[in-house]
Amino acid sequence: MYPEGRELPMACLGHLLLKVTIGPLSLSCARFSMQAHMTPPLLLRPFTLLLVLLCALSAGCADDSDVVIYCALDQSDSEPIIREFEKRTGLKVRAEFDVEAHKTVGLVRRIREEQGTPRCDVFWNNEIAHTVSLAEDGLLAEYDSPSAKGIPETFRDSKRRWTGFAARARVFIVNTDKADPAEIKGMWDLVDPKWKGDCGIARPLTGTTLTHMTALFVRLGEEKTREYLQKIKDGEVNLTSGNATLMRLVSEGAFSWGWTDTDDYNRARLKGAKVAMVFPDAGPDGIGTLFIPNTIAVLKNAPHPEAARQLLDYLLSEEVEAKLASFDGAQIPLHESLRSKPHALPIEKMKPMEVDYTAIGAQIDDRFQELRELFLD
Amino acid sequence: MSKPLVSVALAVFLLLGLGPILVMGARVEGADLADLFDERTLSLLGRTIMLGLGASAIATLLGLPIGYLLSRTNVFGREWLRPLCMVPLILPPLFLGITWTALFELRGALATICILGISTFPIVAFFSSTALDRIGAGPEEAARLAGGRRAVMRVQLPLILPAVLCGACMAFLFAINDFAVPDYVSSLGKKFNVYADEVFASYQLEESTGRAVVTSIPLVLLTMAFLIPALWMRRGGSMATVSGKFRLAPPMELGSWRLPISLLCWVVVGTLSLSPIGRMLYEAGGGTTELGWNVPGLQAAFGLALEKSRLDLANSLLCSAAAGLLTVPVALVLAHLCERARGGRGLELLLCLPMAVPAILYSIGEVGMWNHTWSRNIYDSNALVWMIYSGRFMIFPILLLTAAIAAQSPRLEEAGRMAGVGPARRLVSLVAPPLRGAMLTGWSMVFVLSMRELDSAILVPAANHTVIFRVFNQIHFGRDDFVAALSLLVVFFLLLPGILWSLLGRRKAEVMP
Amino acid sequence: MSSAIELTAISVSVGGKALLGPLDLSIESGEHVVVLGPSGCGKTTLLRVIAGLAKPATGTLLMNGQPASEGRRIHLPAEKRRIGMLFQDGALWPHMTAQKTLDFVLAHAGVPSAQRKSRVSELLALVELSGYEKRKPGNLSGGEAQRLALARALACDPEVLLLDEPLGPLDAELRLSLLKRINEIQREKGLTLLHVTHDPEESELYADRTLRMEKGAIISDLQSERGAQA
Repeated sequence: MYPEGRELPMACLGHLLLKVTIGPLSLSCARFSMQAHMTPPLLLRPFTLLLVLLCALSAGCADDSDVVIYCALDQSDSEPIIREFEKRTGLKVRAEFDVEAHKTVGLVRRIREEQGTPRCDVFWNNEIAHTVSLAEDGLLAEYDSPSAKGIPETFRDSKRRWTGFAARARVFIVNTDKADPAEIKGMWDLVDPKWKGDCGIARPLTGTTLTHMTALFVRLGEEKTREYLQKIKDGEVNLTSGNATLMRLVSEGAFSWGWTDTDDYNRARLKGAKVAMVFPDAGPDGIGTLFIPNTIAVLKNAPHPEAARQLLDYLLSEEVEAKLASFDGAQIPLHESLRSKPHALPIEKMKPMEVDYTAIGAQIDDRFQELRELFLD
Repeated sequence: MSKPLVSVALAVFLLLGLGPILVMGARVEGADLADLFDERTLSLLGRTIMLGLGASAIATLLGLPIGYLLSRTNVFGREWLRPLCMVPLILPPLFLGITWTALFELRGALATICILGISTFPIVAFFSSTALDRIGAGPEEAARLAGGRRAVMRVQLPLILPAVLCGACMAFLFAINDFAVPDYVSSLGKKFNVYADEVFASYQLEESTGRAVVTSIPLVLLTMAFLIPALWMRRGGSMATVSGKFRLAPPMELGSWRLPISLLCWVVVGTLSLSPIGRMLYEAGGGTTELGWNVPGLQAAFGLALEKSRLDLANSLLCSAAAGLLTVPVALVLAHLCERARGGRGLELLLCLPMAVPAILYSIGEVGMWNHTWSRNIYDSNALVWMIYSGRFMIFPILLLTAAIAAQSPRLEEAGRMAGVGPARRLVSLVAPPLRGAMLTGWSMVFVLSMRELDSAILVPAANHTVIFRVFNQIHFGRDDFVAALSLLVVFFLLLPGILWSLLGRRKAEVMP
Repeated sequence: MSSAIELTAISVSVGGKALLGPLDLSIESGEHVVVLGPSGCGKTTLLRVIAGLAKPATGTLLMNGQPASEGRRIHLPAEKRRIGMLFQDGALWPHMTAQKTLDFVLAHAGVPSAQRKSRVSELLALVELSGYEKRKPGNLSGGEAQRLALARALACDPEVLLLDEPLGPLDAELRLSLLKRINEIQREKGLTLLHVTHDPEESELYADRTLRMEKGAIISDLQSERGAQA
């Protein structure tokens, strides 16, 4: 049926594919198959195909990038920025993103696992505690980027192993159909019996909520924080799987208000949900709003150190911070020069919480243990 | 038994299946074992067992009658209902969680149990109906002569009991290892913590991998404790799909009950299977927005999903299909070994281990195993993703093929041996061809499970470019039309092997996983 | 006549339970031996030991004077013993046509592909199945299936033919005609034939010798009239 020559191998491959993948379907295609004596030995059929597939897949995917970035910020926000860098410099960037279900920890875990043979050049974390923890464990290289000049010292490592930029803040999201934002002032309202069963917080075992609770330990001390956490546990506070879930539940009116991040609040606002934002503890005696900046660092023994520094300089630039502020996540710029520029959120009204981020990073593992025993009973 | 083939298959299993587990096991230190069974652990375990038992009870209550009706009665359209009732198993459980909580105000422990029961009922339905299919006309007709319909059922039920219990055990295993559904469903009200949370939490502890491994031991033990009876019951041929000369009993006539029972079947199976898909279609068309559901919105959502995720989708399809292709031949050799060699049962248990270990630890083990200078190209490539899928899911085609080989007369091979056919050739030319249906089912199982697998490959670079990764990331930002359209695309490809078989295949009952 | 098969103190046991022997047995070349006995008496086990499908626990098995099994030590593989066998249930390969089945065996017997087609035709003609080349076992009647099984057993050009109750499921008329055909072929080719059955009638017709077995042992060994004449 097939002429001798070049069509035969393709026919053979097609036959094999049918035979192995959709075997019974090939019965109906029998007229396209070759006679038995023309087929290769039976034993070889599936394995030959596998071998071909193996080679094709492996060869097609080998890494040929100029710089590798592990990025925990949402892919939809960070990817366009990374692609823009590629366009400008001609460098090929391999970007690996974290899956939200793992709340940053996936990439941190991977960096630790890979430390014997580092694959990552630049780590762009969407929070700070785990970056500090990586720095303390000697996995980050020192680099004082010229682009970081305008960022306040609070958000920079004294040894220049990491730099904070584009922050989120921990705020209350309030469903305006269900509650009056003016009635909610600060963190202790969450455990006020008045709001029993009608407010919420993400389970403080991951992400920014974990960092937030660790920050409370640093700022308020152990006794007060433990009292607060116990009240959260004992009161009927809704514990969601993450901040975005909480935002969604408040938007839908499942309960009235809860802690979330500014980026989640802004997304709800842009979708037209009837929600308002409250900066907690903004009064003269209040501890203020916790800022959780993105952090960026070059890895020690990075395979491509030169390109890594180039990428880091770009990501820390005012231009990128302004861009991140303009996205749906409405990140809060940390460059002094950008603070006065118009922003989607009334950031000028915020009172930043004063806290030692290095201490947060140092404590987070121990606090996590404690929180786990409290909230995973 | 061909020594070279067996050696290659065992080497593949050792490398892909056991390798990551051994890497992780090597990190355990004595001190890690200290608080293995403290009060908190026991309470979490107790709750997990409750979840598993509840889910498997619901799965059995739904699956057994549905399996019976679809297999042994003349319900209208049963050839369509059989593949349709597999849909809840094929969908990622989180999709079901999201849909059912959106449709009903379901929350907390009971809701979690119900959703996992719905997600796993197809396993019991499948096991029941295949077991019923194999009883054959002889015993049924003899029972009918002896005492009518009631006698038939009294003959059938004890015969399918092992298969039903095996299905219930499998449902239990799926339920206790699920982390996402309990987490998502109990976002409101009192938190329903389960042991899988504890394993995930330990994984976050950066300093001690050993402790994370130790934390997972009770879950692994629990899984194995339910796997052993399931395997033992399956040994009775409860999952076999191949038989020699065999006459299938004609379906039981329902008489005047045919219409109402058919309607009931369609309503129940349709609701359980199509609601999640319907809900996603509604969301993809902008049903939850102010504009309301509209066709241009639906088209735009699919357009965007395809544009943004085309490559991820292609990667997922390629990796999952390749995983199936790699797995089936290896599984054939190992299944043959399990069934025909001495010590096969022990080997079968060992082969179950990759599936019993929590996915996330498996993933860390993969990094430890493959992140070296010499293996750089493998580590960075898709090959590692499908190798992980293969290692983790190999047990499913193995179990399926073991059962199918058990149903095949060993005389077939002996006749070949007498004719001078070598062991490798006997396996490929005599044992394998009649198992084509079972092999294809095995392939679809690996394909489906790989397409929806997130955790076991999550730390591997190429897994970042799979479609399920993108779906889960997008779900975080709120369910919108794009996520719903993307999820529907995933669902479409998950169902594709079954749809193709249903349309074109000749032995329809064999294909659905 | 020389001994085609010679068993000395052969025994088989599984899990400590004795299934067969120890027994001694000598079968001459070209002899037609029928083995009778109730179910579970060890008839099939005896055939499987001779065929090389089961290993004896003790004893020696010689084939044409050469050792095939000696306890568990020497074991001539089944495929090298030049034995054809008909199984109880036919054991035909359900996915192969009659032609493919025979072609497959011939290919393994080393018959060049050019000669295989004619050999297949000959074999099918020998068992009166000409024209059935494209049929699969599912499309054959019981008698036809056993005739195909016979052709398959003969395809590897055996010296010994073992029959493990292959005629059980067939009706009496068919059984007799097939038995006759097997006997003719045995005579034509000078095969040594060992026929396990539980039907005494079958033994009387063509057997040279009838063995009776019970509980793993041979309790009687009678030369039939025909055997005595030979």
